Amino acid sequence: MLSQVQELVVHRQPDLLDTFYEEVVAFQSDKNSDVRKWVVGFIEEACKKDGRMLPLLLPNVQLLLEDGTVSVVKRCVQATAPLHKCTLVWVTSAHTITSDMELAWIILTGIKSKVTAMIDHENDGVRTQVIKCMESMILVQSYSETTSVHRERENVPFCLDRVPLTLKLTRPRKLEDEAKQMVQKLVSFLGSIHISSVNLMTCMSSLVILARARPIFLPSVVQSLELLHANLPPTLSKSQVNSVRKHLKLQLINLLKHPSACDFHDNIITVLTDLGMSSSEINKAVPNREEIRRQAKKRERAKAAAVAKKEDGNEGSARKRARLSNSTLTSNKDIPEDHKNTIKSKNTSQDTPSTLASLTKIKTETIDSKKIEDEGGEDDEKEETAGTLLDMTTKWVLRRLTIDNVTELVMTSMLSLPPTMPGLFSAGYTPVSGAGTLQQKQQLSRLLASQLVAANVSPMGQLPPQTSVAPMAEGLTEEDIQRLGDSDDEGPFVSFLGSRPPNLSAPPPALPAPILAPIRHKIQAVKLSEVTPVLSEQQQRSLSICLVRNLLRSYHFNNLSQLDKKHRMHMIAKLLAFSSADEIRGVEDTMLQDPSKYCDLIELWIFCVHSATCDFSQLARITGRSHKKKVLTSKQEYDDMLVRVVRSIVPQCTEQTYRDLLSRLLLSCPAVPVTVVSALVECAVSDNNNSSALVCYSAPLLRDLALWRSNVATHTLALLCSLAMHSDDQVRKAILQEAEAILLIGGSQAESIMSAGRRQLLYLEQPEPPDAMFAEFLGRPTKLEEWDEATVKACLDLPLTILPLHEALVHDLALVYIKTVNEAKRGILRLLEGPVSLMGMDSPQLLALVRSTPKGSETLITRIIHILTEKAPPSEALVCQVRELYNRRVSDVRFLIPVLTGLSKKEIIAVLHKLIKLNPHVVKEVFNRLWGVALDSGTSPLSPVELLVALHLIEADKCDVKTVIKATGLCFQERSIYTAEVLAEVLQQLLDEPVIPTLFMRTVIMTLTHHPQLLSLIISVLLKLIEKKVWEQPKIWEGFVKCCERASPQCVAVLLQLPIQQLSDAFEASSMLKNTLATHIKSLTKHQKSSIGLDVLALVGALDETPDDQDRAAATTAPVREIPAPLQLA
Amino acid sequence: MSLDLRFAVSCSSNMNRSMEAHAMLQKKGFKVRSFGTGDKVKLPGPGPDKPNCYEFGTSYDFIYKDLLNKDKALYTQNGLLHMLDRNRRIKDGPERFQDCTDKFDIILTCEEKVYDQVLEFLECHIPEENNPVHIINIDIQDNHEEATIGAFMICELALLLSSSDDLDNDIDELLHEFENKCQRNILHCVQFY
Repeated sequence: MLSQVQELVVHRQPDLLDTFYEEVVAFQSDKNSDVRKWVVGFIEEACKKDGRMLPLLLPNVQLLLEDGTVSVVKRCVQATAPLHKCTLVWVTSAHTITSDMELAWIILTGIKSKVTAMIDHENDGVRTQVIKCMESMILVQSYSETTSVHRERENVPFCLDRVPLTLKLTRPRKLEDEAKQMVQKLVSFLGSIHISSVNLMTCMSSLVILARARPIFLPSVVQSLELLHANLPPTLSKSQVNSVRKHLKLQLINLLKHPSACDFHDNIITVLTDLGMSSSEINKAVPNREEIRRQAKKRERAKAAAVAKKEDGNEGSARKRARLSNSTLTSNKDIPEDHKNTIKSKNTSQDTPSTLASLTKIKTETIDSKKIEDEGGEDDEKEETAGTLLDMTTKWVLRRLTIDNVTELVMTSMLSLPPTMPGLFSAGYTPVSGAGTLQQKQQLSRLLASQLVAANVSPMGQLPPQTSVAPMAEGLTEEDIQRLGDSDDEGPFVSFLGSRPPNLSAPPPALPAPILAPIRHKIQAVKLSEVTPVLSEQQQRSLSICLVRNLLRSYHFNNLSQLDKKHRMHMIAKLLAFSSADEIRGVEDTMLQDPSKYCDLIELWIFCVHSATCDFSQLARITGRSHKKKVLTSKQEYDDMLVRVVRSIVPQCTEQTYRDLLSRLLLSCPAVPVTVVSALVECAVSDNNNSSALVCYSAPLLRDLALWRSNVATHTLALLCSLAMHSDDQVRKAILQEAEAILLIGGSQAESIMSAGRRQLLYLEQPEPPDAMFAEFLGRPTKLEEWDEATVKACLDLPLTILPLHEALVHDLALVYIKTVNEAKRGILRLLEGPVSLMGMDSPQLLALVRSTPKGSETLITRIIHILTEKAPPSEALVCQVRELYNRRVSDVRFLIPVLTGLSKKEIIAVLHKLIKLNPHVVKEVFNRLWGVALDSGTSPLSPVELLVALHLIEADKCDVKTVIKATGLCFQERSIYTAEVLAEVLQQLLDEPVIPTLFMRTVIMTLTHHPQLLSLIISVLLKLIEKKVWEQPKIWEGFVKCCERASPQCVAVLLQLPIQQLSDAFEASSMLKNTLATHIKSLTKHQKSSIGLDVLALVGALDETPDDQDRAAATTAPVREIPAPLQLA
Repeated sequence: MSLDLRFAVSCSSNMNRSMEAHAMLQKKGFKVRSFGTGDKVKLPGPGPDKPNCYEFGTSYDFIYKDLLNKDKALYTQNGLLHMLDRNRRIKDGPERFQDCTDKFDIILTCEEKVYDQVLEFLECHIPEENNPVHIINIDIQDNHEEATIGAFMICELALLLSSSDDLDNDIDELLHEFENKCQRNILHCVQFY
């Protein structure tokens, strides 16, 4: 829309311009910066169209130049160049100068000076535009030359050529001087050290354009580019250096192509070679010599013509040139002597006085000869351009570039080299090609010379003071002048690169960035203390928390280097350490929610807080908070912080993290306060979800704390022992395991655990469980009135764990056992097995206990002995003790049972009758022991045979038959032990006894019942019994008959051996026998019958023909009936 | 945001690298044109010493058909036909930078030689309006994969540059940042129209 207006107003209907410009320009106060920018464009267009608009619109430009938006300012600066030209054209073309023109000119001068001053603007883009603007203004305010390169489109651009000398407003001469001033300004801007790469390149191209358009500037431009090449600003990055060097190359090639530049070819080519260009490339760029010569001739002719044409007073280029060279020459001649002695060289940026002195020496040594040479040499220098100070200095240096001097220079400057190679140097360094050649020497001397000149210490003298010291009086603001004045005050050796002669008011041109020069180009010297407002304590704190939060967020970025991470970690930790708990709550939560992730950090943080507590940290002193914080960061604060850490970490722990993280933290942290241990246990116990697990995890940590953290050892041990009474078995188990570990290590910790164990054991003496057992953290919130199984067990666990390692406790145990309630007694007996079996039967304490056996503790002792002998044969010592105990004090045979296998055969047989009187189960066990069934090893003193024999031999008065029968019955049940062979042996032994034991026949019958295969043996036994006149013992006889009954029909052999009286008795007792025998006899042949006695036959009834036989038979029955009733067999 | 930055992307033949970037920048909505700076449009041919050369001004379509006739299998296999097909859907034909009178804010070049040629060309003009133009070079090898990677980098750079409110002031820093991120050396300079 607006551009349409512009098109209409400016280009189509110029008459409308007058009417509408005000409305349009009113937009300059628009809020939108784009609109304001457009307004500038409009003004530019309008002024180009009609010069009369200038006085009306220029003030607006001036106003907009002050705009707050950078882009508008840029646009204004951009517009200044064409406006400047327009004004000049307008003013020049007018015949008479109107007041409008004067007004416009004054405003323009104002704008111009403002723009020029803006070269120090803080915005890089604005500076760029200012450079370009100055470039155009210089072009306009100077004279064109024959070799000037013009813009393609306008063949004859407007320049000073067309400004009449009679111009009233300003003299063209003044304008020209102003232009030169601006060139110098650009040149020095190029040399400033803080120039950005964009501006550097812009400035380079501007200067080159100027040099090409106005060859009079060539020398200073070439020189400045040379200097630039030698002194690239240190602020550039590597790639920027590359870009700049590339750009420089391009610009130099452009210059090289310029016809007027042939005088500088050597210099330019040297720099180009330095920039890495091959000679063939350079040759391509250098214009043909012939052509140059031709052009030079042409130029000469043109110059002559110009001279002829213009009168002497004319400000023609040729004349001006001559004047310039004259002035330089003259100024060279009257150099103040003392300046010659102030010398600087290339590497003196960090010069020490000694270097300076030595340099001075070198120079002064040669100064006399130099003077003479100079007188002579000066005459030879015919070329005016070569007469510049730089060239002369170059020659001077070249002559003195002897080996000695160079060596000394290198040695002295060595001292001032930085310890490490600056990045810029390695980036910009190209190896010296063709070292030692004349060309290289020339180049070197030129470089040195440029430094000397820049430092204004050239032996050839000062650069000529500017012809007009305050030429831009209108342009320069007061501030500038003030600044110039300031620079005068500095002494001769103030700066970075060299001294500045005190009486030189303008800065030296072509100065390669001495430290003071940039001050002019910088907006202002930034003093940190001035521009930074002091933050309040509150702000500082909140900012530092902010910082911590951000650092924490990026803490786990993968692309951080290890070192970077470390630094970050330190920073976070330190900042945290200096903030109060309330402030860092948020940050703390983040960290503690994921402790494994921030483990290192948390650890470091703990250390930092601790060091702050103890005032170890230097940071505290530096930050100046120490005094305040010293009070704040008390021990308490550290404790609290650690407690917080523990409280938040514990509930989220797994076993793994517990071990890795919490243990690490607590064991490595500088101090563990008691409160932390309490908090740890409290946390572990109070968590409802997996409390037992957490306590179990914490057990090893508690152990380590008890062992390694001596300040909390007592407390930790107390907690550990209390936890040993926890209601949860799992917890107890975990804790006891650790307690055991501590006991094994020994030392004072073990002792305190022992005493705690004893204390807990003694609890059992009390009629009801003590208060100590009832606490929230032990899982027993409510008190019980009497002991129950669980409490007894909880109370006993620790003592019994200690017992195997600390056996003396067994005496306490026995005493407690006597006094305690039944519930506890049962508990003790039940739980005793593990520890006692661990103690072993050789334990002196146990033996002592067995020996003493306090009254009331017999059950306990028996139990102990039982446990001891369950798995292994009793040891000699134990048997001894028990035997003694049995013999002397307690004649309870039960004591002997466990050690039976340790007793002698005789002893056993002596107590056997007592043993079999016991409860059948016990008897069974006794027998088992004797048989060796339950034993792993060891031999029983009584073999099964002996046992059974011994049983038979027990005298009836000691033990009634029934008991013995039961005992033998047990034996017979054990068929695997009492096999046929064993029984046969038994029978054999019993037969050998002088008196047949009462139970013998019973045993025989049992044997026959169980092992029918022993029949033949039984028969022989019966036969032996007959030999022993078995019938004399009625009970045995009765058994004998029964046995024969069982053994029929084979028993006939036995029967036939019986005397007839006994045989008939037998028949009386059992008719079955008679029948058996009768059947047998009947089956016999006559011959066989003949061997049997008649009386027998008669008895059997084989002689049934004779009635006598029956009478006899009847007669024999009578005595048999007199035989007592047979034994009632079981 | 100055999304109205005028971008130019240039390689030597305006075929592969510049077109890849052109396509990508266009897709992102940038104002972009692409160019070649060489004398001729050169494409790989049947042998290393036998490239296909065309004058600037020849349309992509023509080249496409030409190559199709010459050796369909070869040029399908080396991806040229595919590339040309893409190109002809973007614009008519390759353009030579030196023949263009348009003005840009940013010219991106794909190799140092192209950068030199662009600078040389711009250097020949003495500026009138003093509008700055930034020339930035990123080295990209002339093959399909690198071109794609390069296009991504160019795109990223374009986004970075257009995110700045005051490009002339920020460009040094932005480029430095970009350089660190991409780990490529870039060249940069400013010229004026």
